[in-house]
Parts: sequence; structure tokens; C-alpha cells
Amino acid sequence: MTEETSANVPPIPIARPDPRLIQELFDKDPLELSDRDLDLIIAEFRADRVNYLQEAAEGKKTKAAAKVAKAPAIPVSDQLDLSDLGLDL
Amino acid sequence: MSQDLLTGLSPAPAIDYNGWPSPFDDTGVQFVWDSTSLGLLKTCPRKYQLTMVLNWQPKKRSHHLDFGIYYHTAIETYHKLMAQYRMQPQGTKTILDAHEHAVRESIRGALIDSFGYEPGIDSKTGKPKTDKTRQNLIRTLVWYFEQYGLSDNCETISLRDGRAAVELSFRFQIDRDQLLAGHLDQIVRFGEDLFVMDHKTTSATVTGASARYYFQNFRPDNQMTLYSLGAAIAFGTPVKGVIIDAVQIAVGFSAFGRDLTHRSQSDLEEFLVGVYAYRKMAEDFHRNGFWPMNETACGNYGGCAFRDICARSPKVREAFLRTDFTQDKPWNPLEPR
Repeated sequence: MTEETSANVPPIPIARPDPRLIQELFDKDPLELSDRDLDLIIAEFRADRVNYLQEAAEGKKTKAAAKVAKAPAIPVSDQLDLSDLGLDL
Repeated sequence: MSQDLLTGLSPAPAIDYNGWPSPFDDTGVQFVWDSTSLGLLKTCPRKYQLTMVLNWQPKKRSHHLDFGIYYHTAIETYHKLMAQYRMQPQGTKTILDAHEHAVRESIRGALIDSFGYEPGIDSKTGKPKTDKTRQNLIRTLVWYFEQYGLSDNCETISLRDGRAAVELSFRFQIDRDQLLAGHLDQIVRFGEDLFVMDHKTTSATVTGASARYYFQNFRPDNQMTLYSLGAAIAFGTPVKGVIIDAVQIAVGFSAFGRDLTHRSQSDLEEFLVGVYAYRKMAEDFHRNGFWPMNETACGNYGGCAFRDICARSPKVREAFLRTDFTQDKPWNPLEPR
């Protein structure tokens, strides 16, 4: 059943708060965090995930393209042509 | 207290199990077993003696354990809140509102629980590790709820009273005076069948082709077999096995993977026969007053916590134990979480 991360990327980019603000929120006494503070933290990590999944998807595409490009070429001398088939054409 | 000349260890002082009954019978042999205590005995009888019989626990709890507890608690909170929403009349609240509320409260709880948490120290650099940090805990939880919150093909079942089937303690008799006990993270429906779900945090790869190296560790596995048995007997739930719900915590990302581990009736029967055999072994060690070391296990999983103690001369072991360990926090399989 091995299940993997699905690339379910929302189409609309999420506005990211200032990273210093996130650090400040982490340093704050958590009992004093408001709902708004928590929503900012959650939004930050959601945006992080979107970026990660996009980068991972792009990385996969790049890897696949590199694989195709790196496929070893068959030396010309090893390639068959019609005469090798011994057909009486 | 008299110190054993061979091992250098003194008997444990009177143990306070915080109001819970002792898991040891009148003869001093354990009669309530859970996967932790059974695993200790299977790994190394001396480690079992130090932990379960003499109650030595590290003064500073492992950061892996702390991180895992925060993670489990937050997921439990999320499922409990979602179950509450399903029990109440739907009113004006949508499932999306309930999800957002559950995510926020789970994150709030995790931030409160983990305030002051310190990640482990990298033994090579001497600096704090950068994978299981507090920020990465919150990132992992947010990503988990994004991944599985609103669209999970494993549905948490509800108990008869409507509560979510999460963090369930079980206990059942295997013969006249022997009990097995444990705690299940979650029971879920996947397709037509029921499974125990167990959450794991790891630094190993849990997605892609290499994931099999991680998941193959759970068959055979003491903990997963006991959970299958516990769900079947204690809850009368015919579970098909355990779903390992794993997350890889890396410095820059968290990746999620799941796999099934099945247990047949014959697997469960063989496991039970093993439990009796280990119980007999514990009786013999107790009667002889000697719990041998299993030196082949000292290096497992980054090294046993007692490795430095066992490496010392028996004469000084007790003094070193008193420096880094405490006897104030005994492990009791009977204590519900």
C-alpha cells in the first residue's frame, strides 16, 4: 500500500508573512498567541509546502529530462540496417 | 542496600507507581507486559533489569521521544476535535471550518507542549541537530493536516459513544495470572477493513523505492504484533493488521508514507508462545538473581543508553548510574496514557 505525498498543489499562491515575524511568534510565550498569530504560522508552513511540492515536481521533470538526454547512444557500427536482415529486397 | 558483587547493582528502593498497581507480582516477576518491557527483555536482559526491575531511567528524556509525543498528541487533538464536530448538529459550521479550527488548536497545543524543547546534540559537531526542531515539528504537523486532514482514505472510526478511536489503552489476560497491555494510536477503516494505525517519526526515507528498507523493519516486529493482538482481543475488532503512518523529518522538508503490515492468526499464536517463553526466562533470571548482558545489542539504534554504565567496572557502575539516571520515573505498562 506504500502511499506517497501527492502533488496536490493549490493554484493560488499564498502571501507569505515576514520570516522574522514567524521567528518572533515562535519565541513568544505560546499561551499568549492569538488565533491570528496561529493562522500566520499555519499560512507560512502551508506556503512552504506549496513551494516544496512545486520544486519537487520540477526536480522530477528535470531528472526525467536528464535521463532521456543521458540515454546511451548506440554506436553507429552496432546499429542494424535493412541489409542486416538478409531480406531479398 | 546490599550491592551485588558480580554486577555492582543494588536492589531498587520501594517503588511508587504514582497510584497505579505494580506490574510485578508478589514473587517479584513482571506479570503485566507491554511492547516496551517485552522489547527490553528480548533486546538485553541487563537492559530490562536496569529499566524495569531497578527503575533506572535517563534523567534527560530523549529528544526523539519528546518530539514523538508532541507529534502524537497534536494528531490526537485534531481527530478528537473533528469527531466532536461530527457528533454535533452541523449548524452553520462547514467541514472546512471544523478542519481549520482543529488544525489551529492542534498547533496551539503543540506549541505549548514543546515550549522549551531542545533538539538533540549532533555527536559529530557538538551543535544542536537541525532536523527535529520545534519549527520543524510545527511544519510537519501543518503538512500532515494538509496531506490527510480533509481527504484521507483511512477514516478514523468512532467509538460507540461517538468519540474518535484514538489513543486507546488496552489490557487483556493471556492466562490465569498474565496480562498484556498497550496503547493504540488510532483505529481506522481503509476500504472495507479495519486497521490499527501507528504514527512514526523518522529520519529514514519513507517514500519512493527506498521506503521498503524502512517499512520492512515492521515485520516481524514485537510492537506491531502486540498491537494486532490487542485490537483483536481487547476491542473485539477484527483488524487486518497495522498501517504504519510514517513521516520523514528532514531539515528542509517532511515527507509522508504509509504501508501495511499484516498479521495472520498463526503469527499471533506464535507471538503468544514467545511471550510465555520470555516470561519463563524472566522467572529464571529473577530466581538466579542474575540478568546477563546481550553485548551484541549495545550498538543498536545509535547505542544503548546504558552502554557507558555496562562498560565500566561493576564497582563503579552504581555511582555513574546515580549521575545520569534517576529512579523517580518508573515505567508502568498499567498506567494509561
